[in-house]
Amino acid sequence: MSLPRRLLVLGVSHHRTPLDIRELFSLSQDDVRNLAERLLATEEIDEVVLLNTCNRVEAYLSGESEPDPEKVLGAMAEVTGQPLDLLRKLHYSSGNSDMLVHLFSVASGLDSQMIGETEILGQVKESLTRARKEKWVGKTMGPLFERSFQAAKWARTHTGIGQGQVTIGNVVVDLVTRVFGDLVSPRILLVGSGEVAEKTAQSLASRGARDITVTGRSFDRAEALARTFSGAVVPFETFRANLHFYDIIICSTASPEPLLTTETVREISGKRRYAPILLVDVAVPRDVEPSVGALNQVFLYNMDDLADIANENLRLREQEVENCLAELKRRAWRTWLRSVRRTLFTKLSPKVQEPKGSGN
Amino acid sequence: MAQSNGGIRHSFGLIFPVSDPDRFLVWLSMAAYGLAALYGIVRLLRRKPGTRTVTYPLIFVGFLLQTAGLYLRGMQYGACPLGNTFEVVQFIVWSTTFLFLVIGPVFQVHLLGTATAALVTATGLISLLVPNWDYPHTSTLFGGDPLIEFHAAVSIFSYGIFGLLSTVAILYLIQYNALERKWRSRIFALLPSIVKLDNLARRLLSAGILVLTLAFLSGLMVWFDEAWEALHWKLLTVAILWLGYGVVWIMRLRQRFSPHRAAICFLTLYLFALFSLWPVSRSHDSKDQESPPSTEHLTPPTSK
Repeated sequence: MSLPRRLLVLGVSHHRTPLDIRELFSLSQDDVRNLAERLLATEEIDEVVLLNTCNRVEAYLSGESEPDPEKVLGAMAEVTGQPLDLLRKLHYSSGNSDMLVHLFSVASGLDSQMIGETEILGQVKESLTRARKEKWVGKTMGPLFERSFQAAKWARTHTGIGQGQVTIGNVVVDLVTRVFGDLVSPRILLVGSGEVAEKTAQSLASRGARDITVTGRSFDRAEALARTFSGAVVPFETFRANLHFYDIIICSTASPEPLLTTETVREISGKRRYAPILLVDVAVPRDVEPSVGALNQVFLYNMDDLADIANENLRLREQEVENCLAELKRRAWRTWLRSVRRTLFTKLSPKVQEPKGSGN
Repeated sequence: MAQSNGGIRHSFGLIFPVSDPDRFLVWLSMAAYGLAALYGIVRLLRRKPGTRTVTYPLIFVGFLLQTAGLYLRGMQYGACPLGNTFEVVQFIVWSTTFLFLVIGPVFQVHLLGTATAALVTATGLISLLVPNWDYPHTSTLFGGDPLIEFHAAVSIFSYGIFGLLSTVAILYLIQYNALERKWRSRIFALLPSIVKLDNLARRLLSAGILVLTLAFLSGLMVWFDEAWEALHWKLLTVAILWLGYGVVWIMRLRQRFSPHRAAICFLTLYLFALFSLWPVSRSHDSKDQESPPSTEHLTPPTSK
């Protein structure tokens, strides 16, 4: 680590932002690059890691002097095309040691919508990998993120937050059981072949689901996923024609527009003659119009709904979460002190010129 | 029995007469049903599924005790004990429990035992706690006509089927609303699935319609033979019930009616069926009053 450095995290997440607003801040890959470049163009920001998941958009920043939150918010507003006032209202930020506490909590899954989930660690790692590849980080953020991975590993190994793991897949299995009684008879359609869809399908298959069909914009990926479950694959262009044959539809595409409108679902519901249909929408932005949930015999669950159920199951583990958070705070504080000590040490040494990372 | 040696008993004695073995046995049966319900509810509140090895034996013991109680009372009449509101309600409770014991192990629906036990305990206790419902009546309940006795027994048995159907409907509506409104409690994961409940409801509805049709036809034959003008209430209520359940049955068969709406109809019709007992009993009473029984027809006193 080469210091002195000031740290800042600023973002929006599921804590203060409901799904229908959160999806407005969803960033494409190009948006991520655009935002990083705008932030690095700011004088006081030297390093940037952007964490962009379905539940949060966060910028982890480091600089010689305190990064100005207003400038960060302004860049975010410009890239997402959303009003600055809305961002001001919804954002949160933490500096220095508090940023480290936040980062450790995020990487450990303590700050996740489904507390204790492990997917977030992979997403944090991917964010760092991209930032390194694009040269958005130097010698400060990389090691701090590495520390967060160690903290996450410790939390999973030494505390109970990961025991009886509550995942989207497990929650969906419970919902399927409550609607259909078992997983053998219902026909399942996965719309989108992303990671969330794959994990959900794995949970369903491991509990007895047999009739799984996959569709996605990438036919090859859909076919590969279908093969792992001995399932079928249907072309994305035509999957709507036979929707009424499916009892469970799990959507997880990156489509910016809803794939299933109220009219479409009303039509398939009519064809099913009051047979229930379970729609699981784990996509952000959502793939299914929210008003679909008001239809008779149609049960629609989105990410927030699934997380609420999962966290209800986790309520008994509150003490474990508190213990884990206390230890993560101690670790974050130690990491911060170590950084400060190095700062003092490096002040006595000849100053190392740290290149301002840029993907350009 | 409510009437003992022709004297009026103290109200406590009417509610809980240890000296009357039939009522006492019915009380004991309600205690067994109540224990089964309590066990299931406590397990549910602890977010744990109840085990059938506790619920079933308790309900079975309750059923045996209730059967013994109703048998003792029936022996006093020499006929099926369906002479007053208390007896009618008890017979409905008995029929519901009997059906649960027969179909419960086949369908293995979670919490059906607990829900049935709760329903029969509540209904049965109400009938025990209202002394006026166990009023005295003639021992020649059906005038020695086996057709009337058959009609009465089959009618009440159909009420028992619809009682169990209502229990299933309640479970369905709870699970449906929990899914639709996204209620988060773990309790709902312990409830049966809506597809299973709908399946069971359709079978019970078909069985209930069949038995109620038998009751309706046998009733028509009775009413044609006798002065049915005095019994128009009974005819009307049974006809409404038959039509109501029949319409729902046809609509469900043709898939023109959602299971959710059907469940609401089942509950409404069952409430109507229970309230219709009042006019049915009234018509029975009016018949009794038209031909006052001689003293030798009064129910024989219980041995003390």
